[in-house]
Amino acid sequence: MQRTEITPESMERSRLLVRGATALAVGGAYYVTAVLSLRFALVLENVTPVWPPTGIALVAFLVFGRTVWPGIGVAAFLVNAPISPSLGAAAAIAVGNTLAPLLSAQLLRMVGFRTEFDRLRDALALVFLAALGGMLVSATVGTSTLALSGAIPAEEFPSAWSVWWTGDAMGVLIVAPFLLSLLSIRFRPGTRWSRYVEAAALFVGLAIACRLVFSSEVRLQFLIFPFLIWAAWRFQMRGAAPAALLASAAAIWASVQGTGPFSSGTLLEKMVNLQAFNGSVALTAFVLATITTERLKAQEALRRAGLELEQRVLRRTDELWATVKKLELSEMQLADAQEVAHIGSWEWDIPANTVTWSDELFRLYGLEPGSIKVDHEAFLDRVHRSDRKRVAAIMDKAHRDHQPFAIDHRIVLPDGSEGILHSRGRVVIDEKGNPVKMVGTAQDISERKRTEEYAQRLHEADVRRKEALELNDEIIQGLAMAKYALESGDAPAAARLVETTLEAARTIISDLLGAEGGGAELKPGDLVRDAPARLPEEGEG
Amino acid sequence: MSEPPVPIRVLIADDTPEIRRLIRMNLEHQRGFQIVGEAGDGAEAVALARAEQPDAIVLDLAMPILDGLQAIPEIRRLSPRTKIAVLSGFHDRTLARKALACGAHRYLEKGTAFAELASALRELCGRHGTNHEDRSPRTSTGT
Repeated sequence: MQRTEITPESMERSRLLVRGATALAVGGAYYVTAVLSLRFALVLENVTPVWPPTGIALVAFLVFGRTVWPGIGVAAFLVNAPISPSLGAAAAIAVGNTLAPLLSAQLLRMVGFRTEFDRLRDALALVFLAALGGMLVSATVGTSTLALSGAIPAEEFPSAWSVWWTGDAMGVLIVAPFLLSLLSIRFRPGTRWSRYVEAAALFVGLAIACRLVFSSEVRLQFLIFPFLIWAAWRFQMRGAAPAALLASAAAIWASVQGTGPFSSGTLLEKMVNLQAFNGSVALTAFVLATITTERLKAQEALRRAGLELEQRVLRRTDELWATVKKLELSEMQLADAQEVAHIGSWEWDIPANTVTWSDELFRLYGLEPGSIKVDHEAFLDRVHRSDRKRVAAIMDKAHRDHQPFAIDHRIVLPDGSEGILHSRGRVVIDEKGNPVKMVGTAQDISERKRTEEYAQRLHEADVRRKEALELNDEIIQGLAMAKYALESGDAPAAARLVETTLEAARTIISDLLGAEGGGAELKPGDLVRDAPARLPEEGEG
Repeated sequence: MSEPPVPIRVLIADDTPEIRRLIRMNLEHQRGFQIVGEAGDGAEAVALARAEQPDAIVLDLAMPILDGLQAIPEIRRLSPRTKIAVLSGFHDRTLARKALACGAHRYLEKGTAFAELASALRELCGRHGTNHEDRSPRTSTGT
């Protein structure tokens, strides 16, 4: 046993003590109930129409476990010793009386019985396995012992056996549910006083009905059933078990006293009638009680599921709301960012041919956000006439090959002015590879383009200045010097200077016309003059 | 033929030796000028102006190291007496204005006749009419 390893010895001792005390208490209860029950003996002194101790023993085995067997065994022996033909016979009967509830408890455990006793299968298992099945053992062992010891003649065996069996079975059927229902009773502070009034009315009514039914010879026993149904329906097992106990006890009491509907006929007839009645009472009460409980539980589960669903919906709604808020926030931030960067975004739903523009994109096109309905054609209409073909071709190509694209193009604003956009886009395809939409951005680069043009002009001016400098250095200086040489009367120097300057002029001219910086090559016709060359006349400066 | 006139001491600054040679030759040919030095770049022009403190300087604008526009203020600072005549190949009013704004006293384009250059220098230095035809006493007063 696993407890020896970790539990201190003192714990072990106290555990054993508790177990001993439990066995003793169960044995005591068994003994007292048995002595009281023997007063109702119908055959000799030890065969009674109902044997409640088996119900006590069964519940003890179910609740405390198998270890209470010594208490039950000893109590059974003590009960039977004075009324048995011998001590040996008493011991044999005690063994049978102990084994029967032990077997019943074992059978119940095997089918998953729950001591809450609130399911239909528990009710059916208690009736058929524990009461009718398990008690075959005690009846057979007990009756055989009596017959073998000669206490009853052999021909009485069947009737004695059946009385023993039904008595034990009734003990289980009537007492065990009652005890189990006591275990499950909880005092609930919230219970309305009307419930107590109703319970009181139920049991008073049942008591009156019992008094009426079992004090007269008229067979009115069916009057009991409406009360059982009431108890099971309204109070489930907590009402049904005590009601069944009350009805059965009243029936047994009346038949022992010789009154009521079960007082006439032979012993066997009386027994059959009585036990049929008791069995019907128990079965009706318990089946109805458990079915009602199951129905209520199902309702409760449904209600809880509904509540949980509602809460989940609420929670989900909250989450969705939060997500929506977050989305709204990020959309606002995106719109702000687009406004700052002059970047608009667009989405073209190709099958529906609807184009969605961001607010900033509307503004880039010089439009109020959302002021027009955009589709692909409306977009192309706003592209500058000269760029339209190129833009459409690039988008068509992207549509075909699913590749991303980027393009700079001009647009025409409603006031006729032009803007330059840098557009990028990509194609979104579905699982079959069909393009479903194009998404992208457009950035206003008019400013950048203007800056680039300005830089280009600056660059060109710079180039021109350099050319001017070169011309100045090579040609003007050369000619000036030639003039000075002539003034100085140095004709050879002047001729030399003119020659050098001419050479320099040729080089510069061919540089300007030629391949400098990848300039275009001269084609026929490029040299056609607009006006005749202006040659200086004599005397002109 | 009284006392000989005090010649105008001239510094020539131009990166082209041929120009320097021709200017020197022509100014020396006309009486009344004494060439005190030749500079081939702006920095040399500044250094020589400082050392020689000439009456006038014939200054090109496009030169290595320091261009004329950079050299003018330096010359004015280090040799305040010196009159600066810019002789540039650029036919450009803005450039002329800029040179004058920097402190030049006269802007002449290259190709201007030597006679004109000489008379401009005389005029700057207050030697009116001091050429070989007219050597009047009023020019002998100097600066």
